[in-house]
Amino acid sequence: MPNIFAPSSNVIVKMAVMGLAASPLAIMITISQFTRSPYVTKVGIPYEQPVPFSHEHHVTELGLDCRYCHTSVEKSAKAGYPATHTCMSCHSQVWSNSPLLEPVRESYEKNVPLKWITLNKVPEFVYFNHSIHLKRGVNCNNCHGPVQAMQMAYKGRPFQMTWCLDCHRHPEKYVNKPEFVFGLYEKIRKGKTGTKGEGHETIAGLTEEEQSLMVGDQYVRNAKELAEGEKLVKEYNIKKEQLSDCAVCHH
Amino acid sequence: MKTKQWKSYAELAETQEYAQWVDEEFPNRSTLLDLDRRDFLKLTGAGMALAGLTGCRIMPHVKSVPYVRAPEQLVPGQSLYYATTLESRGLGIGVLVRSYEGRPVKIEGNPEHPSSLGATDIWTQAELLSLYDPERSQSVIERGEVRSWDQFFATARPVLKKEAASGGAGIRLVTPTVVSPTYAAQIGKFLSKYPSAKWVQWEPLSQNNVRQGTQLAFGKPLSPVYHLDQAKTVLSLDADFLVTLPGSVRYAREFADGRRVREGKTEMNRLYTVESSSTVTGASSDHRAAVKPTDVERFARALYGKVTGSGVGQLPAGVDEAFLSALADDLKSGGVVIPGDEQSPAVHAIAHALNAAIGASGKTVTYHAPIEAKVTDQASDIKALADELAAGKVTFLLTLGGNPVYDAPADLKLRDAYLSEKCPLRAHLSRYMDETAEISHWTLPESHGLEAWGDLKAHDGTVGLQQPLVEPLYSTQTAMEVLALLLEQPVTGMELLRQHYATMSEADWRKAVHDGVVAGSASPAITVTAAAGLLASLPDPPASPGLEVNFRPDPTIWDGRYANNTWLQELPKPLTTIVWDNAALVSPRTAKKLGLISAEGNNDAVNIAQYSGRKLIEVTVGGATIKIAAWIQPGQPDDTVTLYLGYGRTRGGVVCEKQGFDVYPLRRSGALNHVVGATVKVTNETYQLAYTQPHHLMRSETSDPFGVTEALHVTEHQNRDIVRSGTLAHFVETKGRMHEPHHAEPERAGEAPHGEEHGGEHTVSAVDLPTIPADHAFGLGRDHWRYVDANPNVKTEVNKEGLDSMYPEYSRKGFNAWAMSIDLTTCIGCNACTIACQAENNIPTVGKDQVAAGREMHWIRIDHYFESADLENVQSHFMPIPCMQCEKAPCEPVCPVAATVHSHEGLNQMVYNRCVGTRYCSNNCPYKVRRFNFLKWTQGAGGPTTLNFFEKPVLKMLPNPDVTVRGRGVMEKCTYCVQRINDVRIEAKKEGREIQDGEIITACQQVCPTQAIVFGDINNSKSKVSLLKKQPHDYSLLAELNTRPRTTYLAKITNPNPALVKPVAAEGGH
Repeated sequence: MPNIFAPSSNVIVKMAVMGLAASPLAIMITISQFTRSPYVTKVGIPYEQPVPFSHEHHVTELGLDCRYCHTSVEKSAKAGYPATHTCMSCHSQVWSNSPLLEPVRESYEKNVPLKWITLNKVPEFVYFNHSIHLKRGVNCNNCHGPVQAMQMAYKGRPFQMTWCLDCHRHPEKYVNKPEFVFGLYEKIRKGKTGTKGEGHETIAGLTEEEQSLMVGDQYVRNAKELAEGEKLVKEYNIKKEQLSDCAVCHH
Repeated sequence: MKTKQWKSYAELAETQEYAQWVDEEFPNRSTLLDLDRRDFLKLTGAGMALAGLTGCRIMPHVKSVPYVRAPEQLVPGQSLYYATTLESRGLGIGVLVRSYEGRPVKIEGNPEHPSSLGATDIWTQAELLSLYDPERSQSVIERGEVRSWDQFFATARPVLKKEAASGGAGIRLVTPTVVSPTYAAQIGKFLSKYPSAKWVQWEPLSQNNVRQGTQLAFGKPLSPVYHLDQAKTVLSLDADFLVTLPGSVRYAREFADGRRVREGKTEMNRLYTVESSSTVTGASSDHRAAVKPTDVERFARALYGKVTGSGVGQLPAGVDEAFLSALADDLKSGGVVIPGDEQSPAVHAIAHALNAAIGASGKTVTYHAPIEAKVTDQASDIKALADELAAGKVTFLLTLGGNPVYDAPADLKLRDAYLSEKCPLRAHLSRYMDETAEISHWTLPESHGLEAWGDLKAHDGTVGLQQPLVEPLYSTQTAMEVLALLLEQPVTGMELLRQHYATMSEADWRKAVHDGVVAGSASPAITVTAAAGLLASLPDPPASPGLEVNFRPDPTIWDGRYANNTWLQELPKPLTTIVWDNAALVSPRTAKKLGLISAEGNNDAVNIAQYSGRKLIEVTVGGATIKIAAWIQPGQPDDTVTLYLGYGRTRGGVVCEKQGFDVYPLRRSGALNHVVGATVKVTNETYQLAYTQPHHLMRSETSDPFGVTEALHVTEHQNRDIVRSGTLAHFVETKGRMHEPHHAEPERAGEAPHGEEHGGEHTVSAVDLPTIPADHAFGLGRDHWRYVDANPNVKTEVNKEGLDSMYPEYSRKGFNAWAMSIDLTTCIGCNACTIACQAENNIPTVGKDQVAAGREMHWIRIDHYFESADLENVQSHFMPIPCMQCEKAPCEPVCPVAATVHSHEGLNQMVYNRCVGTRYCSNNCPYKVRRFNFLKWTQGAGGPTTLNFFEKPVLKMLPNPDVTVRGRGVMEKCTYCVQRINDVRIEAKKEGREIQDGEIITACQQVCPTQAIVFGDINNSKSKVSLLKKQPHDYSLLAELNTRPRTTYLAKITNPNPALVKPVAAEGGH
């Protein structure tokens, strides 16, 4: 009677056993990478919005202040989306016949709001407050990526808890003077030399940190800058231990 | 000897049911042991699959919808507060409503309104849910068909035109009591156009007796206003003035202000209650006598005789001569007598005469013009209406609000009169499709107070203005607008209101709208003189040898108008703690006499525990009989059955239908408040009332199979020192240290910890440790534990038995340390905090069956304890229990996933997104403050009786946006309103300053009519809460457990008349 299994079966069985043993690890790696992938986090993916609004054009080229549209960002938890009326304050005069702006005009005439796809959203059990972060000199780009260079807005950071905690445990790595927040865009505009790019050009007069923020990179502060940060943390009376208390963000 | 504190008969009787409640936190669970192997594997498999999958979710796209034109002042993400006036049981109460991005999300009191003073009652709180109630009437309906308002007016106007010829003789306008000046003016206009038309006011609970009482005493209908802040002694003659009387929120504050006993104080006011039912006012009194309803008048007569020296006469059972003379003496030195709305006009008249005799008139009670636009005898008006309807004299019946078909006196047979179809056009304006709507031809949807312009008078006549917080959610109108449209005046509610106040300048008008109150509009006091020979002119009260029945407003749903409000339905009724039902209250002695419980055996508690709330009885009054569950209530007067109105609805929304028992069939004109000669028959039918009294017991196990308590030398568990109480005399004598052992002071002084800093993860510098004698933050009871420092480097706490504390040390240094103080003396048990918390923190309701299983979700509960030597003469104690926010929290070490951890500000945080639902924390909480979402309460798991925030579009607008809506399988509990703390902290930080004392107000503190709850920072030695915690009678609940609760209590101080204190009880403390 011939053998049912060929000698090569041994190898297959061994491989299968080893594979089985390794599979939990593989699954874990797959899941962890998957959850961090842009497919899940949506980082860097622009969406089709009712109007193809360009932050790059309005902020960097025209020099509009963030607060012109996001009016409540310094006062409230929410930054606020501009009312159609805000758009029309210019676009009743400028580009008033542009077909791209038809939805805006229609909204204004028919009194029906525009519906934007929300890119940056924390889960419903997280309470984030814009105003206090601005007061501590946290620049928009720290969380939203290189907004001033975005042709179409996209999500700049994955908004995962570990990323929030990085700052909430070590605020000295990120805090700054309040004027730093909107001052950065002013500097970028002034330092621009004319060549238009995707925000990757070097702008004169920017510190290394500002340069990183401008292109949306994570900047790692050096010892001197960290000491400056520590000083600010003291000045702001930030209680570091408390900053990572659960109820600061979850209630 | 200390008398025993107990919550329910089951507890006294130590029944099996009670043992089960104690042993298992949530009895009647299914257990895995009951499963067979297959089911077990199925569940395990499903559990594993779901556990893996539920965590994976890609967030769906969310749309952001900005304004087209942003309203002025609106900052996205920030709330605005508007002053307005809401109706609470027919009267105006001033409120500030929080509007978040255009939707009202929380109602709070308006400090500038005289009836509110910044607080509210349960009904006002619940108006928010009423606004968003999915069951509200939403469109005009004609005989089941949806119509438009235009179609209604097209039908009604020709009828009016035809009627105009006869001056409107066939028109009947039926409204509840009207206290709105503008609405009244509108009705006046209507009546002047149709002079023969009749306006009928009807409400099942009215001020009829009050007005007729002043009519008897002074010859004109008047509205008495009491000034309890100036009264040293208050006598309530069946008046539940702390909760139900018009102006009760203010009265509660004034009453409590006279009872805030602090160190060095030797005086407080004294409350006597003579009542025919069981009310919270009776429970808060220093002396209480329970008498039959008709005996209240006998008592009042006797007291009048005593005070004026004209002879006492016969005293009713339950009151003795000593009581009477002590009371008379007290009243003469600065008192006031308050007669109850349900008592007869004669009692009112005698009370006014008494007030005149003791010199209270003009001081502690003032008389004002009635607040109603027109004082009528409502009972005779509704009777006339019923007769005319039956006689076919009515051609157009317009009921603007109210629900007469359900709540009119039963003998009028209003339903039959409706159904006789002799009135060809009946229209009913109402917020719900109720019993009256059911048999009216047209049903018109009514606007909610938060959607409408209007004005309402307060208890003292002050006009409060009502401005809408939102556009009407549906196509609704107010009664005022409907009348205007019938008069063919095309004006809006706002224009009607402005026209009425046309004499006001624009600036005054804007200020009045802004403040919510028309300044200086309170009715001036009128000087009155009592008619001479009053008592002689009054007929003797009827002899009543047998059973009496009294009808009372339900403590939560009132006359039935709040019946569709799930918050109110699930609010445990004070004293009985029944939810979702009403019951017939009888006293233990009467229960025995009626044969409800066996008279044999020597343990009444066992018999009562087996009967109360589980059997139906038949109550017969004058030929009408109803079946209702019997509830045996200690403290209820003998031979008196109290029936609560408002239940047994047949129409009006899925929440209220088929809940409880309708007692209106027994209520006949001429006997609206109480009736003599009732009979009660015992039936064998069973019923199950749901009540919360035995839930959340702070007791140890009744059985101790492993001898644990013995091994730990714990002996105090069976009757722990939970509510501490004592008399004012004892307080003064002991300088407030009523509950400390006599040798406590020197011991405490010697306990100051000292020593070096020591290592280890959980240790702190000894300097940071609270020094026990100076640190009152944890109240009395700290003498259970002390630091031993044999080795200066290792500091441990040991208890009396020498056992070490297992909790790590905790330091408060450098942070705000949030804490709360609750004054048990001023807590009146009104439940307002429970419902305010529910509104603020998105707390779900669970429905009757789930409450019966012990699964109610309220974050702050009002425990009620009886204290008595026997079953009859009970003393009541109320104790609000929020989370204690223990510094050494037993819930924290047992959580396997660190879902409940401590914050640096001392909050015991609950992290919903981490919680996996083991319920170990709840099991380990000695105070039983943790609540578990057994089902998807917020997704309608309990059917219509749970609020489905997710699927009912209108309920999506209800939740507070600052608080997470919890899902199934998650533990939750009081957070000290951490969302409010965070808000204030962020604002303070933005302004670069410290948080001020009083800046953070928790929802329960805000709503409390008596300001019994104070919240603040105990690291600020000058904060109100710090000062209260330094009071000598401040104590921690279950301090022997060394949990160091941040919530502490001020012991309850009563002020009995020394002349009436029996020698045994004289000690008060122990």
